[in-house]
Amino acid sequence: MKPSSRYLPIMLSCLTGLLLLSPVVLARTQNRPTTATAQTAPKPISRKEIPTSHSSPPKGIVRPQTAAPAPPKPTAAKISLRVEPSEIPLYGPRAEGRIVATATLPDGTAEDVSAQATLQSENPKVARIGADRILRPVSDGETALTVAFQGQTVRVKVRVQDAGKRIPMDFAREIVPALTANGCNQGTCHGSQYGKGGFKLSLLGDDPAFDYHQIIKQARGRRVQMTDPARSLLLLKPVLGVPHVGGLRLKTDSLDYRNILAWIQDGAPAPGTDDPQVTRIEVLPDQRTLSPGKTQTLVVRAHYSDGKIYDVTRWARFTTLNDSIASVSPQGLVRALRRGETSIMVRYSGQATVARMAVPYAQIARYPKLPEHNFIDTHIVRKWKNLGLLPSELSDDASFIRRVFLDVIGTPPTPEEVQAFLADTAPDKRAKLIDRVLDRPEYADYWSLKWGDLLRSNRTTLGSKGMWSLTNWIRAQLRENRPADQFVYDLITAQGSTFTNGPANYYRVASNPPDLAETTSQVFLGVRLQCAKCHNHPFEKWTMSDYYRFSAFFARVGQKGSQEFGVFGGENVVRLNNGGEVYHPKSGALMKPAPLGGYPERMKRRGAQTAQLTDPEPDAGGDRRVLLADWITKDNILFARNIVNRYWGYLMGRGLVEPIDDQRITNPPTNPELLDALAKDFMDNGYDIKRLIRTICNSRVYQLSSQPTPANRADTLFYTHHPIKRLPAEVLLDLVNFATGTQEKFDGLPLGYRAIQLPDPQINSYFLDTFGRAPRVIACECERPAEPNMTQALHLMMGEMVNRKVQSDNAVVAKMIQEKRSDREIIERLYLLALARPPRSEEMESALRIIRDFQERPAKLPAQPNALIPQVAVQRKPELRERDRRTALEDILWALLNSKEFVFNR
Amino acid sequence: MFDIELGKHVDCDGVTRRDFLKVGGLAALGLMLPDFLRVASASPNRRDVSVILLWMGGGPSHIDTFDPKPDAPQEIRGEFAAIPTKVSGIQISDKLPLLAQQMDKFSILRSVTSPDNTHETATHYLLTGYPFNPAIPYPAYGSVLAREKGSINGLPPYVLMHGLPFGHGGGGYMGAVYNPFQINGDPNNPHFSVQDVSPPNGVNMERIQRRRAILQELDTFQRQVETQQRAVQTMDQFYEQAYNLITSPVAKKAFDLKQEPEKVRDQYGRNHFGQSCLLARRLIEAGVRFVTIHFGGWDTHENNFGALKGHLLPILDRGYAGLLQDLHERGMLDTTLVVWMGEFGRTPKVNSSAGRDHWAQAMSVGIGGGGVKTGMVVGSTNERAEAPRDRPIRVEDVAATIYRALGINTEKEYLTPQNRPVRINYDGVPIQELF
Repeated sequence: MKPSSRYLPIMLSCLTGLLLLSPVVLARTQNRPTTATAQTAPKPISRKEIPTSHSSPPKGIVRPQTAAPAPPKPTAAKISLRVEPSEIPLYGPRAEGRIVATATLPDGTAEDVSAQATLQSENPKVARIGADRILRPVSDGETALTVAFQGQTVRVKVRVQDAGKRIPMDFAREIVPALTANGCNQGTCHGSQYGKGGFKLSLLGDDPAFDYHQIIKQARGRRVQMTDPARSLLLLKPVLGVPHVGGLRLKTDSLDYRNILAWIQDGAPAPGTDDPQVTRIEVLPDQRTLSPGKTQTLVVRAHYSDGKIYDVTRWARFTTLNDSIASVSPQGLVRALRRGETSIMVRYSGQATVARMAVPYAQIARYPKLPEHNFIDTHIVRKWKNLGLLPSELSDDASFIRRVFLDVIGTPPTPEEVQAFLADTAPDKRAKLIDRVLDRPEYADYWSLKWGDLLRSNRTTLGSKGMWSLTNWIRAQLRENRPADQFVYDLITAQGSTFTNGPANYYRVASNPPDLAETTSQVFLGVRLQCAKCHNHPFEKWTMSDYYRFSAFFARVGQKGSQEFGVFGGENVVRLNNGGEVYHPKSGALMKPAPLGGYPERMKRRGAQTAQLTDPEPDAGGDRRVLLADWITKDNILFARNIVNRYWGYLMGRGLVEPIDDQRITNPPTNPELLDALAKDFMDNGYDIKRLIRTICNSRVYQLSSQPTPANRADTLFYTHHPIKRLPAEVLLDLVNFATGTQEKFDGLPLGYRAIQLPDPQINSYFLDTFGRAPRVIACECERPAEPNMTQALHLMMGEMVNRKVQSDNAVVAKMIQEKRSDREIIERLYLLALARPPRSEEMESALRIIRDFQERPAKLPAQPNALIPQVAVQRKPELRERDRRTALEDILWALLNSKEFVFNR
Repeated sequence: MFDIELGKHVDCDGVTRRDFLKVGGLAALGLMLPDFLRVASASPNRRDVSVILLWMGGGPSHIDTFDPKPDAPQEIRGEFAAIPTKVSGIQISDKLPLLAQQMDKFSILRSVTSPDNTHETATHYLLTGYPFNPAIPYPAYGSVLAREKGSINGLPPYVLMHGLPFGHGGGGYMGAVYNPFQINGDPNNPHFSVQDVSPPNGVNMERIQRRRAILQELDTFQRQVETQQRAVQTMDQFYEQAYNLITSPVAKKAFDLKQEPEKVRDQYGRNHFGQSCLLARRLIEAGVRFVTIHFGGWDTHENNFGALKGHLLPILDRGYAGLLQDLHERGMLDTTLVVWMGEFGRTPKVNSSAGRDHWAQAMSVGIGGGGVKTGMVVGSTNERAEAPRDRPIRVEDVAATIYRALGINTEKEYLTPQNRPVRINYDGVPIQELF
């Protein structure tokens, strides 16, 4: 227990010097730019933009720990006070109300003063403030809560209803949340799928009806004693009145204990089927900037389907997503610890949301005007500014050309391309290079690999013909740069032969409604629905009903073996069945198809009799999937965010949402405004993927150096320097071949076929298996191992294949020696081939010295019988010198292939 | 290279030992290292138990191996008879005569039962102790052991011979870093060598050393302009480990089967499985903590008896018996747990193709060494070998038993990448009879 988690006295006089704060605007409004104006053609790169040095930061940076002496106390008149929420409704006798009070100083810094402000009820006969600073109802009526701080006063309207009414304890709204808040139904306790000690509850209380049954009916009713409520096992166990493996969970003097007791005394009323449901929860404030050591109060309110709002801070569960940046107490008090940004996840009754907490890296009094190439930079720079970060300088041309080639086409530039680019003096040469690379035929090869992974094209499930059919279709989409909405539409609505219609194979890779629902939501929406198959999603609003309603879109997709090809073909025909439904596995109810979050307004239909909007029905004999494809690909921000986030992640080394296919409220993007701007730009411009790549590559942030500055080294989330990326196994193998001037022979494919062109993972390659290709078994980006391992190092160092390629008579070293090239020429070429840059002078000198030393090393002498006779260096025989030269050059090439600069894309 | 003491590490059983970290030149940069490297070179604890898992891919028939039913009708009994073993009262298949003579060195669990009849998912269940769950791939026992105890003598803590069955048997949600080091190739082949640990053609150790010197010089130049990021540091660490492995005389010796006398090689059987068992013993001796040998071909839907007596059982008999005897003679059996199992048993009733199909309701598991009681039979099946008659043993219990023998606290929780807390073993009860 941290001793001071509740209260931290605040010295206002220290504030101004310490806090960098973008003001209230940050906390309240989505301060979005209009993308239409922000979006201009990429600026040409000019030399002037490149800062001369990163070692001297711009003036005005003040690190928090070395803050200047606090400036004089601000004049009282300049403080402004803001209080959230703006109105407090109190329903029923047990309602509670809390507030968050924020003082804003003239310089824009804000401070949580919730615990310091004076609270007063204007009419204590309607509502009163308790010693715990919580507002409670007294009698029906209206009044106001006055919040005062440093001479500033804010009035908050208070409305009390049903204060005197006898309302029995509400099982779903008051008892289950108490069980959740005390940890009873968490995954490791009674919420486990097997229960615990014979007592099972739904995970985090997602199914009150089930929980009620377990508590009242199971164990022959021993858990609740109507005649002697306090003797109920439900209460005796957690207070350790009888032994409890889970230990002490509840104290007899706690409100939760009294509530559960009162519920049993009330006759343990059951949850009603038409009880109001929680439609959303909100956390106040939803974002805040803090400096290390400062605290922030959070208030959580639940909105119910009957329009009522309850303060549920007492029962909400708070979790920090990064406990090294900020911690949070069970009561919702956030404490900033270290610099960075994180979110506090807040959960209540199956709903989840987050509050973003930023702890600036430094305070930069006069933030410099940073160059921006396009709207991406506008959003990136705003983030840096808020967090007190400054970027590294622009990458040099050689790093840039290798990066663009590897990122966009999975192919290294040739030495000639590198030299031409380095020699080019055109100011817009980077933009032109990006255009040229996008037009290369390898574009389709490389991205077919990615999409082949996502769509899991493989001959084990599809057969050879089906796999080729799907692979060729994917390649055609990419070659033609077909808009993403169109090819996804074709995939979702595909029918017909798996041999002649590539996309129909989508329905063989996954073939039952739950699998199809999971695949479709993960691949196209970046939403992982799997959890909701067996229980409501613990970190997301998706329920089991959402899952099975989404599955119902696929209920009528069938397959039939083709007669035409009989036993030889394995051809399948994907077609629609006349019937087929999906039922909820717990309730058995028939689930009508519905998209996640329900149908948008535009898809609803006017009823025949009433004017009410109703969910659309598929056309007669129609295909439910058409509705789904329509929903996913038209005007759907989830779809656009998913695609742009994936590409951002591929190119920038880290998704704005990470993992890149796990979009959910509780996994917020590091830059939501940028994600939405990219998504909108993508939708507004015809879902053009090449255009998306071009936009990202032309941004200044993409073109930054991977070399961090001392000040931004700690940043791993905000792209102040380019992340170093691992190369996909296929690209690395191609690079080995390219750098050694050799080719690979894959089974059943012609010599020279590149690894990035392989249609599926069923082609033998120990190299590719070792470096990790996607087996294409599950539709998750996590299939491709993200971590290196020792076997990879072993294989590059000791592998027979790599060594053969280095030492072959057909490889680059032997050939250049045959062509009578000089050492300098060969070394320069090896560097260009392996690293796409010429060697620096010290590298050249070192390589020349290695060759010379090796050639001139003393020949081995017979052991000297008399140690007193000095050893004499003996020159190697001249005919051996040429052989030594080749050996040394090959060893240099080997070292290049094992260097970090080769193995990574930086 | 130099060592830095990172501090004290307390075992789950309260034993304090020192953890060392080899960090090479990187330490100068003051870099943080991931967990898996922190326990990377633990000093061996004398009481540490290692494991050799003999994995019978495809699902071996329980009736035709360790749970014969000589009194059942022919359609169930099958073609084999039962023979007495060194332990009076215990009978096994007459096709396992050598193992019968080693019956005092292992015990048979006859009442193991599972609901999962599908190869892929059942394999996951038996190799991890968790039922298959598409949302969470669980780590195999060897991966957990690797994470808990780290490596010794520069050797990988977890080694797998001959391929991950259905991709299971790796680090699961813990990540690829806990995947086993895989040895491919046939150790019975005279030209066998463990891939990538000995110098390839045209390269000797001297040249390797020279290349490494060049690489270090090159990296130094690159480092001057490139402050390293985390992924790069990790790769550096693996190079360090790989280099330790290839230069470790202990490892080199362990990998070299030719150092075994012909007599010992023959004792294990001159075949793929037998020599794999021998290699496993050498690896355990050198400091590997967990070796899985994948021996496939047990999915005998057709010609069950032909396949079993033709090659499967003779090979198994010699290899398994040779391993137990050799471990015993070397005094290693007390610290080496040998587990024999597959993903399920096979149908008691012989089918029309003289085969047996999948049968998870009843299966046998062999377990011995590592301090467990041996020469026992735990549980039994009914007279038709269809289901446990008494004392059903769940897969979770088998897993808990393995962890108990290893001294691993199964209550410990790991977090999945989705932050779901998961215990090392869920709900399993170690088989008390064995301890």
